[in-house]
Amino acid sequence: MSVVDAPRRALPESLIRRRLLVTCFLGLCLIASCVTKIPAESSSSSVRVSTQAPGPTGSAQPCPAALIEGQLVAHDQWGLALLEPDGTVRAVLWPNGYAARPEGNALVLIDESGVEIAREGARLSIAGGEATGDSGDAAWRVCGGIEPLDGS
Amino acid sequence: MKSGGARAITTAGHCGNSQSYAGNPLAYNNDEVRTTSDDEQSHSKSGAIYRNRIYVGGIPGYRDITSKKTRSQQNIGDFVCKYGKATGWGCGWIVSKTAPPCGGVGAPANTAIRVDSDPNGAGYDLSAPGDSGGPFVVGNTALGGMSCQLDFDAIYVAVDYIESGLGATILTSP
Repeated sequence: MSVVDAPRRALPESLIRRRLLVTCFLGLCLIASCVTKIPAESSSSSVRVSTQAPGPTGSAQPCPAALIEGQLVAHDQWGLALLEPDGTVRAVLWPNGYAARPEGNALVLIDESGVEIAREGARLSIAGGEATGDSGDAAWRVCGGIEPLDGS
Repeated sequence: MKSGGARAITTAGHCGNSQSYAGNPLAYNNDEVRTTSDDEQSHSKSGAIYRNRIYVGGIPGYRDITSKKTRSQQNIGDFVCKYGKATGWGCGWIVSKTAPPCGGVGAPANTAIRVDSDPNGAGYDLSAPGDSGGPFVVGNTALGGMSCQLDFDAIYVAVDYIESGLGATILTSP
C-alpha cells in the first residue's frame, strides 16, 4: 500500500470565515482560561492560618464578649498569631475562610474574599474569647470585629 | 469574692489570663472554669484590699453588693441592669434562662440567662466586645457576670454558678 499526497482542494470562502471564527473563539477561551487561573495561582502561594470550622447558617450565634489586644506576628505553626503585651504569643482561630498571603517581607491577613484585614506587625484589638484550639493551647477564637489600634 | 480567706476580682473565664485593674497588673489565680455551664475566673493583686463592690461608671462610680440571687431565684420578665466596659450601664428584661454561656468548651448546657433591652422591639446594645465579666445587678443584689453578646442582647452566668465554679463566695459585706 502506498501513501499518496492528495491534491488540496480550494475551500469555499464561507468555510474559511467559519474556521477563522472558531479559531478566534478557541483563542479567546484559552486566554479566558489563563485569566481564571490567576486566583488559583495566588491561592497556592497563600499561607495557611488556623481557622474555625464553618459556623451554622441562619440565626445569629452568641459571641464571647471579650477583647484581646496585641501585635500580629508570623508563626511557623499557626501562620499568624498574636503577640500580647506580656510577651505571650497566642494562637488565633481566625474566621473560616481566612488565610494569609506574603507581600514583600510581611504576611497579610486576608478574608475569604481576599480582602486585606491586617498586615503583619499591626497592633490589633480582636473580639471573641479563649477557646481550645487545634493545638490544644488556649487559642483566641475570633467572634466579632478585628480592629486596628491607634497608630497601626 | 472570697476564696479560702483570700479576696479577688472575678471576670469571665474566656477572657485572657493577663488582666489589670486601674492600671495595675493582676495575678491570675489559675482557677479558670470554662465548662458547658460555667464561664469564670479570678485575679488579684498582692496587698490589695477588695470589698463587696462593683464598678458601675458614673458618680460615685461604684455600688456595694449586699445580697445575691441564685439562678433559680431569677425569673423571666425580671428587670435587671448591668455594667460593661464597652457599653457602660444598661438595663433590660430576662427573656430566657436557658441560653448558652460562652465558656467555649463543649456543647452548652444552656443554663445562662439572656437579657433584652426591649423584648418588643430593637432596643439598644447591652453587650459588646470588652464587656465580658461585667456585673449584672438589681439594686444592690448581685445576679451574675457577663458572658456573651447575641445581637443586641446580653447573656450572663448566674452568681451561684460563679461561686460553685470558683469554689468561692461573692461578698455581701465589707
